[in-house]
Amino acid sequence: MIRKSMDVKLNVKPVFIFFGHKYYYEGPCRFAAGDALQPGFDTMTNGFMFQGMMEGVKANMPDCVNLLPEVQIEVSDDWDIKEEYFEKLFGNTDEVDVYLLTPSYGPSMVYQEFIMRSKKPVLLVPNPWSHIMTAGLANDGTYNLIRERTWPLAVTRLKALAAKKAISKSNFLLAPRFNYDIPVEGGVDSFRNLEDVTKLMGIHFRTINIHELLDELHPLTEEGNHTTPGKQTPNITEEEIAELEKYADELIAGAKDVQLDKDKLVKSLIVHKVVQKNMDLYDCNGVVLPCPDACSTRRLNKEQITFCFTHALNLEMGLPSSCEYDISAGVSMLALMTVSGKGAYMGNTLPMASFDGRPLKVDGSFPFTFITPEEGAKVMEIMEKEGKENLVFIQHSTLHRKMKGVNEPAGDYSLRHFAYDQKFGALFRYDYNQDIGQTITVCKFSSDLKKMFVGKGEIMMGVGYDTDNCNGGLIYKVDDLEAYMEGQSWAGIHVPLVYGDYTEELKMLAEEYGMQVLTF
Amino acid sequence: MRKDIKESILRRQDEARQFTERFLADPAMSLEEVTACVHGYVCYKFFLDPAKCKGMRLMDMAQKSIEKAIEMNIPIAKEGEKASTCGGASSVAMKLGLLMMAMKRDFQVELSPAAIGMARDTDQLGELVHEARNS
Repeated sequence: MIRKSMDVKLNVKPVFIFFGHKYYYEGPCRFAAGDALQPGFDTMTNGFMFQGMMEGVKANMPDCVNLLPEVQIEVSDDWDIKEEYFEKLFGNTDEVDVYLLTPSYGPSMVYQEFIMRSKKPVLLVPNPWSHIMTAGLANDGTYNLIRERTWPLAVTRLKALAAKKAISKSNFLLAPRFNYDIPVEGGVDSFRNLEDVTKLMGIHFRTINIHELLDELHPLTEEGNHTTPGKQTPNITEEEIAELEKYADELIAGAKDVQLDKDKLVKSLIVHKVVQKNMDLYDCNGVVLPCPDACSTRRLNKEQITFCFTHALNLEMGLPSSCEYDISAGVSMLALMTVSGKGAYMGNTLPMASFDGRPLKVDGSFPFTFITPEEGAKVMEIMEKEGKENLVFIQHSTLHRKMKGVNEPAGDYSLRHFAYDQKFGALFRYDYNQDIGQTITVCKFSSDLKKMFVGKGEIMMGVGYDTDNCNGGLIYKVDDLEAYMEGQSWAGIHVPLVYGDYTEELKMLAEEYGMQVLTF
Repeated sequence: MRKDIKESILRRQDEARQFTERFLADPAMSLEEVTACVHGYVCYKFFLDPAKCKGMRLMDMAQKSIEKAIEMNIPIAKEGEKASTCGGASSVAMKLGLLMMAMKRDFQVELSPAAIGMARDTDQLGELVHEARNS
């Protein structure tokens, strides 16, 4: 089964520990008079406060949180600490991801012991009181205590924790030709050791050899596939092909421009269907497919396919899907998509200035091989206006229609092809020019898992809409290109992005993993 | 001006008292009638209009009452100085707590502090009072 990361909820249990005086008396620790000194008065006001606080908690919880039934206890001026308190407060620990604790004055020993005993993170309800009163435990540094000063910060933390949980429940399908971790060519700057990824993030990897996958693009015969003779495999079926023929008609009818033959589109849709069947079979919510390693088999040419459309359709479904066998790009997409609920886009990403600050040529030399002369002129115009030192260029061929959210209506699109000569390899083209001024967030985990490259930019123009091949993308502006270039030099060539500003959530996620944040 | 405020306070205290007297005079009161008495009592004690506060949360009523007191220039500092707990109850919770203590006395009923603390509005409070009288 495919379980989307963005559907995973963080189970948060609100915990209230109140204090009530059992007797009438006055002295140096009582600040009340009259009725407020009577037994039972504190219990009443605790109840009223609980009502108000719970309302505040509910109003502040983000969509990624599943609020569990709250629990409250009232301890007394007998200063007793009972096991039953903790049994009640912790509840069924298996279902809890985070405790949201509201401490108060009086039961300090109880809430401190609760924090010390907790095996799950304890997030304090943000207010100056709880922040200051837990200084002792926070300084110890060994407890699972999270303190944020404001509700917006606490909510951002919860989003980061929800993403961490969703990531830990993810499985990625890998389809290598050669190596399990690093391809021969493509995402060679990816994670060096996948076992470390599993240890740190909890992601597991499932593998199918690329040749076995490609064999499944045709209906299964009695003899079985060439690479797996006699075995039952999730090949495409005749019925599914018939369905995809209809889907292809719908896609063609909905496109603003079509530069692709229907039979080539169907072939690309078959690839997506087979990949989906394998993701379902292996319980994967992400996939990483090779590009140069697979291309050089000549089987993609033979099958008249590329994987671009598979990636685009997966991304639209909220499933990270990375090309060039770049696993760290795929996992970075997972993080971006989980915090944003939007489809990510990844591509070759390069600054538009060389390291000595000179602008790169936009006349057809690398990396602007794919920019048309008209686009080149516009780039020059932007460089004049914005300054050459702040622009970044990203291009690939996995553009899709759900940049604004996987649950939002699909944006306008064209259909084009990848291969210039034979015109195979379906592609969506999305015109980023309609989103000029849009804020984007970029994120990439470093290959050693010790750093996260993260920051935001602003779309300045789209490129490649009217062209074929691996050249759809955009140019965005960043505040500090020098810091950007330094960060990217540790992150690698593919820098995934999503629409919107999610930098704070991602920085907190990096903190959760103990990573250094490289920002710009 | 001060005289006007004092008269207003006394008038409202008197109106609140009428509800408790009506309640005490009729032991066979229905739940609806008890609730109406509780609602009227709380509203007049809080300087609020009963017709405008139906279904309002008790905490909101207390909040509105504080705002009203400030608006009417009624001195609340004295009450605030005395009404404070070690647990750091808010002024709204304190005001509500003090009113509940007074209500228990005026209606001559024993109510569980925990149950009062969880009451959302005067309807739920009315149920508690009705139940306490008939148990």
